[in-house]
Amino acid sequence: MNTVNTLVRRARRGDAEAFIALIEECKMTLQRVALGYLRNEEDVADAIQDTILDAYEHIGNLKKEEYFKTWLVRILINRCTKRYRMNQHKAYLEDYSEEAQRDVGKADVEFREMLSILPDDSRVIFQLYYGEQFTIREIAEILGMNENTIKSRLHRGKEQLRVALEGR
Amino acid sequence: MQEKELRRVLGAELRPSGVIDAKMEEAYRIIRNAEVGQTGSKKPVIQKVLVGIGSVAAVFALMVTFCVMNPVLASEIPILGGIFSKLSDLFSFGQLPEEDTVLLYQDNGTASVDKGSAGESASDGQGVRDTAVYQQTSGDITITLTEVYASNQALFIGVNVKNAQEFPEMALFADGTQNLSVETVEYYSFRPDAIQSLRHIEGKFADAHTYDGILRIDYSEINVDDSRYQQMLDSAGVTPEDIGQTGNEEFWLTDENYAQYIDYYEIPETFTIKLDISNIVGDLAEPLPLEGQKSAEELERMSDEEWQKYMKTLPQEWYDYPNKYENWWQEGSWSYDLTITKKDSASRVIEVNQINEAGIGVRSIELSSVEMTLNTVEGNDTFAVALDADGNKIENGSSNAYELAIAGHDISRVYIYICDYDEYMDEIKGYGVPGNHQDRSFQEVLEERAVFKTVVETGE
Repeated sequence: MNTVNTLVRRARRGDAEAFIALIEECKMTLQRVALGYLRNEEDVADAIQDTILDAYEHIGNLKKEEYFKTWLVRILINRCTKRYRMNQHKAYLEDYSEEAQRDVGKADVEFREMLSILPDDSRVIFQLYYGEQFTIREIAEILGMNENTIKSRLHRGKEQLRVALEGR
Repeated sequence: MQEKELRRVLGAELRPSGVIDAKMEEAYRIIRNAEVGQTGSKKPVIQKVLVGIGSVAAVFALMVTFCVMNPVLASEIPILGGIFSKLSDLFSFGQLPEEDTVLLYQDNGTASVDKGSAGESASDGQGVRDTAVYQQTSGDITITLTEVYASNQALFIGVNVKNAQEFPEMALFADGTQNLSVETVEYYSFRPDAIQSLRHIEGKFADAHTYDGILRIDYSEINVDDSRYQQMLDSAGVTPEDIGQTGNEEFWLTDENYAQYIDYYEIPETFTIKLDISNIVGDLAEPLPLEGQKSAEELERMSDEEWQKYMKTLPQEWYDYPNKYENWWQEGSWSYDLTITKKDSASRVIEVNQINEAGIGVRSIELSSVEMTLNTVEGNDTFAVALDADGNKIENGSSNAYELAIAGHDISRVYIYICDYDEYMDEIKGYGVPGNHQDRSFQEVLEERAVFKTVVETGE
């Protein structure tokens, strides 16, 4: 029996530990996706916390267990977007440069650099497709966009990425 | 860059973050301590546990306002806030307030839940609304009304248009928007007659089959009661066609007799609108050429007589709206019943009541979350302009020059200047264009040349 589905069923019946186990499974996804929106670590942490509480409140209404991760990421993106708009005037570039100077691993540096190169309107799509390996259809559902739009953004984004990297 | 490399970098295991871990642990603690209900069953009464827990409570209070008052479940919240959010960067009034927006139709096909305020109709008694009320199909075109926000000044409706056929390439404005227009007949509960209108929807094509836009209906367009004027014409046996004829000047509506014949309906806090759409029109990106059509340079070189002669050679159809040379359109029948409740916590009126000896001044300014309306006292030969606290011009968001879009402006202090109309248009206005006249600021020139000026502290 699929472990995730079992955990979701238990979580829907109010099993806190089952829910927490599900979140832990998705922890890295939440962190990577939130970083695509919010460069400041505090904001990322707050957005993830909001998402966890929101998801626990409403997990009883998740229609299909196998869609748990898609559903969770959709909630996260909503929270991130809201938080991003609230903080739009903040100097995220400055936050990023401070963070880059800290002692973070090579993977983190590469990850953040890639995010900064990616075009704004494609960043989250790239993250979901290449980083989290969602399908086009799942991404369309998460973002509420047309599948063809997702494909064209991926195509265009790769072209823009290629040009940006050639210029470095 | 190869796909393998993208996957490696974007899917990398990042270093653990103490900050993120701490916040997650705090959330887990809250969940583990969630209150047990009286029945003994465990239910996540997260709200009660959060009271008094610093920032988390504040954040959750926001979530309660956004999610729980509207009992739409997290999985059914419109992704990224729907059309209002999608177009917030493009729309002339910016981001419309989410907390005051009522969802009508949701993209995943579920019914929206009746909040008991705006959008009440066709409920099945359990608060679940039939989506057919807000989504109508006629021919190849499906028009869906997705959300609504009603301030003290205007009504904003999210509109999604889907075409089974591909839309032709439509005109793109410099600000990135693409507009569609709809021919409407509108029945409002607060007035006995219907209003026929051509409404403009501001938005963008999402793809070749889909358009998202926002329709704004200003209350000043729907509250005019000209019944006394119509009665006067009826008594005199004058038809609307007769009015324009020479010799009928006494029947014209002028500034002098306007107050004598025109009243205003009060827009109630809650009202209904039956919105009937009979045609949807777009402007082609590349108008079809007319046979024998002259270029702009050729037209400029013509004398008035030559120009008038040329215009008579153009086909009658070209003068129609819409026409096949300049427009795409689709006739049909799309009809919606809406119940609207004004809701904007930022709505207020600030009385100013400053009028100078020449009878020019400002009565008040009306504020909502997204706009400011200047209610001035002027003649025909003056023009008002408003600057924000930083001295930046606040532009109008609609075709009405005094309905200003405040998004992105600091309106804690508003400077209002009224100038001679010709002087403003010919000389002063240019100072307000970025890059022009670097020697003097727009505000300096207005301070010097306005015939009336005042400062309003709004407390925003």
